Amino acid sequence: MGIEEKLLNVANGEWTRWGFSVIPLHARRVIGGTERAPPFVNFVNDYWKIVGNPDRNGRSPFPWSAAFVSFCFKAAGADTKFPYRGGHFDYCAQILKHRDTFAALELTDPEIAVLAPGDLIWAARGGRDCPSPPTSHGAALADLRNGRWFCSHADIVVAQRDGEADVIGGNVSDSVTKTTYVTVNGRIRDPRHVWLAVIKNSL
Amino acid sequence: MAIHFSIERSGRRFRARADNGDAFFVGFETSFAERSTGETFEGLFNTPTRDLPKLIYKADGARPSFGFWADFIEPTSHCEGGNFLTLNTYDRAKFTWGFGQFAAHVPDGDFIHFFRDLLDRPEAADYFPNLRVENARIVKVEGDNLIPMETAQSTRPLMDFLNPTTTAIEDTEVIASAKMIHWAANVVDARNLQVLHMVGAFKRLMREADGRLGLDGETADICLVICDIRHQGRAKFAAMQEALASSNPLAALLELGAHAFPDRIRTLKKEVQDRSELLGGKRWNRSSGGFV
Repeated sequence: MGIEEKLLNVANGEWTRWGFSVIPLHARRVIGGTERAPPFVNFVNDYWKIVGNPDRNGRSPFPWSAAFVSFCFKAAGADTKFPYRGGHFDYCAQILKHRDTFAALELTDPEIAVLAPGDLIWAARGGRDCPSPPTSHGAALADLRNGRWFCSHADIVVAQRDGEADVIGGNVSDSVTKTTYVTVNGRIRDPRHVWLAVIKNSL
Repeated sequence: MAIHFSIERSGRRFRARADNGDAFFVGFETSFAERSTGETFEGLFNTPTRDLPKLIYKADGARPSFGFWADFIEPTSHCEGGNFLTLNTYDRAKFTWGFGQFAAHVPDGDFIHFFRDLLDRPEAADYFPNLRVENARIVKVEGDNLIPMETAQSTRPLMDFLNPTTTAIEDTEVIASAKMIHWAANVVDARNLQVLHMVGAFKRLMREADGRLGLDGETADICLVICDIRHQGRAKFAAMQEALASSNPLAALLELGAHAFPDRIRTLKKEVQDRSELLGGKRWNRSSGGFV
């Protein structure tokens, strides 16, 4: 029995707790709770505690999307089988480096990988103080191996329909937000981001 | 690392270089007098010309992602020139971009939605390093300050950022144009983003038109012409309602604006005719928000 169902329950539960923030495809975004406002400011603290930063909350100047992913896997019962980190680059590097320990997680090429609920989709992002990110899966893996850090983001896939996938992520428009992306034959093809990997999750 | 753009001018023709690379065409100087106000505008245009790479929108490429909507937007794209690199800076919108001709002057309009997503891509740091999206709005970063570039009421700061005046062609305007052209020419997903937003714009136009005109069960050819009219803004709902009530609604809709925009209507007629079988076989379905 895997943790997929529990992971989806946790992610959806957090999304509910934050007030159902959505970025639909071809419709207006609606954002519920935001990180600096109570009680949401302390929800972010719940995430940071999982990655060893109990002093941080929604007003701390650190991106918290990886802490959110870590929280979801921890609450779903992934135990020692997920590398809990405060940065997406860092847990991806751990997955790549310790393949035996994290054997149920695999960084796969988004050009090829078919999404399934419970997977993570990992994308490059820009921003202040962000070095130029890689633009392909291969380059991302090389950067992970070489420790060449870059800014990135990942969301948890929670639903898959014909031509669309719903994902839930933290620190998206300062909230926990469900975003809908374009897929083709189950593969991510949305031009809003540079996709680096689908982290297949068989936990 | 921000790309450095330099400008070359030869008569009415502007070209640019990115990081001292090969020169590429940006646009021609033109002027335009608006009949209704008598105002004169000065700016750039770049289609139709042989100087622009032929990066034309084709439904075939977008159909896997968007299904029938890829076909539904194609006639209008051809009416607008069809090129992903289409630019005009010579009218009151100040900056109009892409095969869908997204115009910068509409708050929360097509261009603004498109440009926010474009600025969210990591290459934005190479092209517009001082612009970013903050709280779902485009801002300019000046030291520690974030200057709002657009609100729900106005896009004036962003328009001025891209094109300071409509009475002359400024370096700023040519550089902004060159950046958009270079980005779209070199990054496939910068072009795919135009398609995503054109489909989104037409889905919205369809929903709005259905709400005003009651189009449930109407064939796609009629819906397409209505969307094209709305996209260009060449007739009001009352005129479209009248056309729909006539004995030949499609012909009547195609007459709207035929005197003012004969070329566009000619192109649209041909595009609709060429797809008559496909468009006639699909009907708008209100409950699913799509064509069946």
